[in-house]
Amino acid sequence: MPIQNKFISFVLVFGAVLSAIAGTGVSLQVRLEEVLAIGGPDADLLFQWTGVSVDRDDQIFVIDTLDYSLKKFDPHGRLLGKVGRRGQGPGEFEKAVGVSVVGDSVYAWDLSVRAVQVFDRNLVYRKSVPLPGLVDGLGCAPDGNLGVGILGPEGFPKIIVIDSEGKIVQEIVSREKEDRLFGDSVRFVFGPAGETYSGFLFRDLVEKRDPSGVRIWAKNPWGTKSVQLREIRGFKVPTESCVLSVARDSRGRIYVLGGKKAPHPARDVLIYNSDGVPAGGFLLPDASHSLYFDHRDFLYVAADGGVTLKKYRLVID
Amino acid sequence: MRKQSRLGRVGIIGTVLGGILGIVAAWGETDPVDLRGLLGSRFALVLIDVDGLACEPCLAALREFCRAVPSAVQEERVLGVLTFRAGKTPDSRLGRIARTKWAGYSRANGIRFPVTLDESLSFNRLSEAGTTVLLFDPRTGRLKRWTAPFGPPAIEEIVRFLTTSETTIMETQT
Repeated sequence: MPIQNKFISFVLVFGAVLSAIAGTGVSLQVRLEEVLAIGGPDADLLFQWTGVSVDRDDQIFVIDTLDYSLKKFDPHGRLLGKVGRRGQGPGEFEKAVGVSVVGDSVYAWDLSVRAVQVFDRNLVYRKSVPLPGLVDGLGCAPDGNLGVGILGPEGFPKIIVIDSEGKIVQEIVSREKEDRLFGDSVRFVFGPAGETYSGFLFRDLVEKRDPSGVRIWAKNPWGTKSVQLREIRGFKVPTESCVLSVARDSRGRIYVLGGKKAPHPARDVLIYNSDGVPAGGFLLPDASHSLYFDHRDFLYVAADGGVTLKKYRLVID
Repeated sequence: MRKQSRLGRVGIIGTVLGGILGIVAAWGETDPVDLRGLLGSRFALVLIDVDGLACEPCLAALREFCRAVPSAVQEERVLGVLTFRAGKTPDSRLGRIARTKWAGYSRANGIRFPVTLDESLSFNRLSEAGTTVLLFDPRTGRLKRWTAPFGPPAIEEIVRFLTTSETTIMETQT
């Protein structure tokens, strides 16, 4: 795919307003410069991508739920390879939702299987690591272990830390009972000292916890007081999304993508510093389900309903 | 199986015929599907809303339909109509996105029946409740409609209708 050098500038009045409301007095001015687009409405390449991760060589791994595939692109967006088909066996996907490259391993997960599949960077299937719940997210901890967001059998989300063999070495469970919500989902990233920054799909909550799981700070990004619930088959389940994605750049800033509770659903991004102080925000040009920063701090988001993956340079004044 | 009764028989037939005419009118600019083999004989319309591609029960119903209906029958007697929700202002991008998503999904699932994009939005009202199958017999003007999830009796009747003699009488159920 050709690199699109279109320059897209978004002056972020929105971020300034939010920071002013929060009384921080600090508001980052952010502009987005588009540096790459993969797929598109007329391309036969991506159909509903759900996860992206970039390796140390800037190769881009994308998982797509509509064609059950894991794809690999070079830094210019050219397709290098593709694996996967529908199923629940090795190298197969039923409801593919995420991918994360850690070292030479490519972890891919699926909402229908209690395991993470491991591929090498050439997309060769290596093994599956069984887990005690459905996988919702995965990230590398500073000590080399893996943090896995799972929806446990009891219906509450939690983060577990596993070693390379899949053995659970720690559980990071929300200790505050009022924060537990049946059917919720957790998005998280690790900080350099092993701390976690988490956001919840259906609870208006972003929090930082230390490596032992103790909460350091918590924020309500969209000022929502209550969770809207709907009864389905006897279960009260949440219906309106709050936090779609949480990402962290190399400077330690935390980026939170808002769901339906945000003024511009799937487009509003709030920025916090590592101490939880609001630092501004910006508006994505198109709705996205995900935010992802690579090791060079390029931002990857969805566009065109998931048939396009866009890569941006953030220019922060 | 869920029976739909909000639209009357005449309304549904009118919608189907109007939609088909709309699709025929748009031919040449959309998917290369030949309708001549369908018109005049029994056939099934499968209405697929692109938003349903994110709905697992809708996809499961579609896969069940494809598993049950023989490939040759799918190719000859089934026409898919891909619907999408347009915004307040016309945006051709939405239709192109819908077509691209369907291309990826149908190829990955080996779906054999031809599908066209409902650029006229004629079928939106019928498809909004989920994947819908309309069995239509132009000779008698009779039709049946099911909206996903389909139960085994519905699947059985769909297959029987599409594979048995044209002279079989079918009751209208609306």
